[in-house]
Amino acid sequence: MSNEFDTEILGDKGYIKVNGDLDSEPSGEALRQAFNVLFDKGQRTIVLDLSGVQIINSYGIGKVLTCYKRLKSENGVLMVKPLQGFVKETFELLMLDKLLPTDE
Amino acid sequence: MGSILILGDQQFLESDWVDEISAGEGRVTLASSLDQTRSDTFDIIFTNLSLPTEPLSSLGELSKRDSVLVVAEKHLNIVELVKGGAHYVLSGNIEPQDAKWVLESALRIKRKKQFPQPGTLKSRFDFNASAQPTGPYHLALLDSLEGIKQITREEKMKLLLAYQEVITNAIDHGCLELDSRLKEFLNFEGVDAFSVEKKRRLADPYFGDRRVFVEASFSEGTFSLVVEDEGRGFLPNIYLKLEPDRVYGRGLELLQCVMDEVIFHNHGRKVELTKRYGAKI
Repeated sequence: MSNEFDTEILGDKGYIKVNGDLDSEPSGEALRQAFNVLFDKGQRTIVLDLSGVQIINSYGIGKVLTCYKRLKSENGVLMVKPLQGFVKETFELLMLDKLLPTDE
Repeated sequence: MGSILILGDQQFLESDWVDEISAGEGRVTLASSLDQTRSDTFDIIFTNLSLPTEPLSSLGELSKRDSVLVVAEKHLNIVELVKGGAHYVLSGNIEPQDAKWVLESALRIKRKKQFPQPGTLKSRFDFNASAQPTGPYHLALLDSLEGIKQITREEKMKLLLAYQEVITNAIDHGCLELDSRLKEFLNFEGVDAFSVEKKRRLADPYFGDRRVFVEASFSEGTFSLVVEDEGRGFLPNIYLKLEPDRVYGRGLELLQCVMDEVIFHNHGRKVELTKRYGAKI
């Protein structure tokens, strides 16, 4: 599994496609780097596509929220593509679905 | 009361727990090969010999129709062993209390004249914090439980989540004594101080050589996980302000959602998790 996530800019939004699970340091590091690619280009609305994620634990959630806070400190927004399955359930358990708007 | 055969290699037969079992109830026979057992049959067979895929049938002459087969397996071939007829599987480092636990359970079954249900598993192992510094952490016992259909895939993922939480806490906060607040401090590249300090402490034997002990078991529909660390332990701060965007401190919430019981012992050096599913046939 590659430890790099694809990024894309479409219109006024930057997109990060997360491959694999968000549960450990390699994936956390990949997310940070992908985020930096977009952030350094001035993107302040960033969308995470977690449709390929099977497992997310509190470590992965912490990394997502670090991205959220970095954007928030610059009046930016972190969004997520519609969630499903286990990831959706975990987000709802921790009430993160209220924090991160959905990019339909 | 019942007849017990302990069948194994020299090291197995000389284990501490064998003396304790021999002194307990039941008629105990020790053997290092099938030849030594002559024409006896046994109520309970406890073995660590490498068995073929059908362990119960390979021990056919030794077993009565309702013998309980207990297998100690270092290599975690649990699914094949259970499919082949093993009722109980112990894996990893067996301690006297594990052998006694499983034999007491087997004797209870025999006493009630019940037919033994397959799928009682116990696994015990330990590792240095520096040996497995980062996840993802896997627990082979959970894969086995899914393999023998004692839990669904979704149930397994939730238990895996809980397992990863407690292992991470044991390593990061217990062994390495890291404070989660360091996660809030980022450098200009977005790297947090926690990650930086963690790398440093893993390389320091004072922290990195500390061990984490794991005991996982599944019996009669109940999953139990006990994790203990040699560090200062981890007690979640239940008074943390409930900020919705808090970067750390969500592990306990997750644990409480997934598990039925979460109990901390010894100032957080030992945590015990329990999840009950009810017995499956």
